Amino acid sequence: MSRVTDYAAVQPAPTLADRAKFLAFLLIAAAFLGWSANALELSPGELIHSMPVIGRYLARMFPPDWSALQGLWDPTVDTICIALWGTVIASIIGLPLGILAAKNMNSPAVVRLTSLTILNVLRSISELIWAIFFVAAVGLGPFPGALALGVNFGGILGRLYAEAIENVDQKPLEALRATGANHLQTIMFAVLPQVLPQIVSYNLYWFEVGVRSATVLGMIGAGGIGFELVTTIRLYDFRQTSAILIVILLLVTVIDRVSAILRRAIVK
Amino acid sequence: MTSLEATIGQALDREAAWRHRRIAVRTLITALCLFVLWLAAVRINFSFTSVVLGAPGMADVFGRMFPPDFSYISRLIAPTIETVQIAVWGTLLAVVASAPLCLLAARNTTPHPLVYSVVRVFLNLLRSINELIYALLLVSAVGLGPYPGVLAIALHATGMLAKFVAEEIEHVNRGPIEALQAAGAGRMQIILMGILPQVLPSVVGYILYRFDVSIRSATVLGLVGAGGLGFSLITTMKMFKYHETAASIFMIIVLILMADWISGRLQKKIL
Repeated sequence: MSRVTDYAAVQPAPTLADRAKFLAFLLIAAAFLGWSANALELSPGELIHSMPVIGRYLARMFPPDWSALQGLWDPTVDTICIALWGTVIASIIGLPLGILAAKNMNSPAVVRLTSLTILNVLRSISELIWAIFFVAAVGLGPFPGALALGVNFGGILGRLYAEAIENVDQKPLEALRATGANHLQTIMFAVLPQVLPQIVSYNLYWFEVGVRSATVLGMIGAGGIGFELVTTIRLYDFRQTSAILIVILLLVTVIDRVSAILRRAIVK
Repeated sequence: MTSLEATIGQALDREAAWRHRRIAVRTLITALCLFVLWLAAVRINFSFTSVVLGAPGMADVFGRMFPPDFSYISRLIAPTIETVQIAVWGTLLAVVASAPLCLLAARNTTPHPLVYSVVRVFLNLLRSINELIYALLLVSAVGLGPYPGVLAIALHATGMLAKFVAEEIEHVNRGPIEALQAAGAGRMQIILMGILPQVLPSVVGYILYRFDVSIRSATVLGLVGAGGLGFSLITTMKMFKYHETAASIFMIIVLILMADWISGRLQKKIL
């Protein structure tokens, strides 16, 4: 008897109210899922019905038509260049905003909130939507793609930079301030050296993500391999589509490997 | 005395030479990086002038968008809910699909090394192709609407979740598993009692993170006709109703910031 009370003291049995809450949560979740599935016309029947259709499409992609590779070199290199410059632009945008947004950099509250808001808006709007605007502004081609990536990734990187800066060791900062260094000098000689490896590693990772994104920017005319891909799909030339998809897979894999090696070298 | 001085002198010389070499290597790497960047800039026609020249065009687009037509938001509620639904079901299907796949893709639970390699390659393939490409292909296969969007997110999310969870499974503590084995537990029992409790918190974290990513993707899948807010955005834009486009963008920002906030809160609560 006493053992039972002891056990109950260690692990209080769920009360009726707890159980009711859990049950209510499960019911609401199930109801939401059922309602959503209904709205999305998602049903086991639909899934089973559409599988043969998708299978037929997949079958039309084989064997890959390698003639699609002709003239694919330029868009592939463009894709890498878009990701490269996108990341560079992102750091240029992200670093000042990230510094201003970091809690421990003692920016005035208004400045901090403004930078945070700008970063939030930049990163909430997908690079594809940005690309639509930049294509409208500077015309078709890879350059608006790089700008779009840069603006969207600038928002993401800025937030990551700010978090990295908030986690720096405060002692070097205090030491520099004690010697009379001004704000800019403190940032240059106490903050940046501490966060630089992390910044480089973030940049390399987002360069990888950028290559993946740049493969679709071409869909809306912002350069890169996506344009060729969309064209083959629109022309129902699925055997060429699969050849281009294989090129994209190779590109992404190679970039991932190279960037992983570089990151390891830098962290070491 | 002289020999000591000589030794110190030699050490200093070596130090200086080493420093010079390091500076030379760094300069070389920097120069190489700048050269590559310059080549890339030429390639993508990077030009400040086109930004400056394009600025009025950009300002024109933004000018036509402002002020956003907030009365249009009442008609954006349905697409917003649809976006969330696409993300929820896409992520849920991915969770279901990745449950067996992550076990096959972890070194310590895979039935055979060959299965491990094949599943790993398959997961990498799934992950390397952008959701938008899946959506585009699926829209042309099964038609416009949210359904291809759900499948597109499910495919990409499966590659991502199964890989993350497989890596988590590979890093579990061996102790409880060996104890279970010693007690004569079967394969299924070891997975359920030994591995699952260990990886559950991080799995929930990954699912929340992925849900965040799915919401983001779901807002743009509409650009290729796969439902959600992106579809409102692109249709209003094509009809030159820029005030309504601005309202759609406003809704996207609100939705993403809300999803961010909620998943951040939940993550903090769980961990």
